[in-house]
Amino acid sequence: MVTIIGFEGSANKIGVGIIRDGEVLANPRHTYVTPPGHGFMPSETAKHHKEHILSLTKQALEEAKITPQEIDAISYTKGPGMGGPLLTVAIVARTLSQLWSKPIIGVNHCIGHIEMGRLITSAKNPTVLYVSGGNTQVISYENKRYRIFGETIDIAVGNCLDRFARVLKLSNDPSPGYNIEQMAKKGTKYLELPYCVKGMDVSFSGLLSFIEQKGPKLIQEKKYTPEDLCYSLQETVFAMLVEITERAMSHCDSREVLIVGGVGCNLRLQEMMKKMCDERNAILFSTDDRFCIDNGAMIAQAGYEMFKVGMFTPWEKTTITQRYRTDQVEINWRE
Amino acid sequence: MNDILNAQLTIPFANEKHAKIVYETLRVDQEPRKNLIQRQLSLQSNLLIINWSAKESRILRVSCQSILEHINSILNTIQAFELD
Repeated sequence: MVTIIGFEGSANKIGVGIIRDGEVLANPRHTYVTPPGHGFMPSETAKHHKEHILSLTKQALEEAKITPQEIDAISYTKGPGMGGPLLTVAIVARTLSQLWSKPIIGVNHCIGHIEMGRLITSAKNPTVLYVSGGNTQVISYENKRYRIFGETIDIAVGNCLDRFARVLKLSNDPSPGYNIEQMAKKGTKYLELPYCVKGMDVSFSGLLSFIEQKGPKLIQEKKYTPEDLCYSLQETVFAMLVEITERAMSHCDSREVLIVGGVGCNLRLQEMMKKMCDERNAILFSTDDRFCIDNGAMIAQAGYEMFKVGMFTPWEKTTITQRYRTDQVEINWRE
Repeated sequence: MNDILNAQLTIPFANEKHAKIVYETLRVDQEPRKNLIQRQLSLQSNLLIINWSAKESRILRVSCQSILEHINSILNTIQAFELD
């Protein structure tokens, strides 16, 4: 029996999860929600995480009904993400590692998403679309690495959605992306937006500039409603994502797609991806907001895989890093 | 602007164990701008001694402040989760 506690705090969510042999024993989290029109800044986010991490840790231990002695290792998000919030969490993880005399494992955040998605859905060897506020990547496993087939060349898809939500002054509760999704359901009139796929890669910044500049005017002139714009934005960016995912599947001769990351719980994205999968006789795997959105259990699960193959992090290496690519990690736990 | 600013902080902890935990936790991270500021940590029984030398007062202030915040966070963690 192996029990791992995982700490995640690379963006505006702070989460503590406990995993025991593939079972999620506890996974509480707290989100830093800013006022409408505002994003989250590193130092305020770090402060938020600091305020909640200890009570979440207590809550996780209580829900899991375990004592610290029963934990085999502590895993934390090493990166990628915002420096301040990452460091706040790493410092608590290092302190607990000493207090409880447990080994420590620094986890790549993206690998956490992939491993959690694989655990929850039982997908064997999927082409992975990892979409969130900070990352947009199409990934396929080969020869001990999660290889990045395509990615955004500027901003992440979630960042594009979030920033348009700010233009419309939508609420950030529970998340700007969720509120865009609800608005989009009521949209009917499609506005053609710049569609930017470059080979295997995508670009969203031009599209965002376009809709940021034209959007408010079109609404004011009553040519389009905010709902129409949310709908048009979603349809365009999701079509781009489905296109590059399909191309990666074709390259790898893959019959499985796994969507992970915060944007992955968008049902419209899942629906569009499902349609493509059906046409190719492939299976779509996705998870709901509990596991798609950043959480502690995903870091615990990646930590669990690393623990089993002895990938502990030497004390001097228990740092954080804002840049940490998915393909930098050797995946010793897969064939 | 070419003068070097120095600062020293000596912080006593409840016992040697706590001082060691704080020291070990803090010593891992490097200053982000090593060419502008240097920081040295040392441990003397229950005392943590931090020495800074910096080229700019602003960078020195930021580093001092963040170290104190981290120490606060470590102590809160110890208080909440130290095993008997």
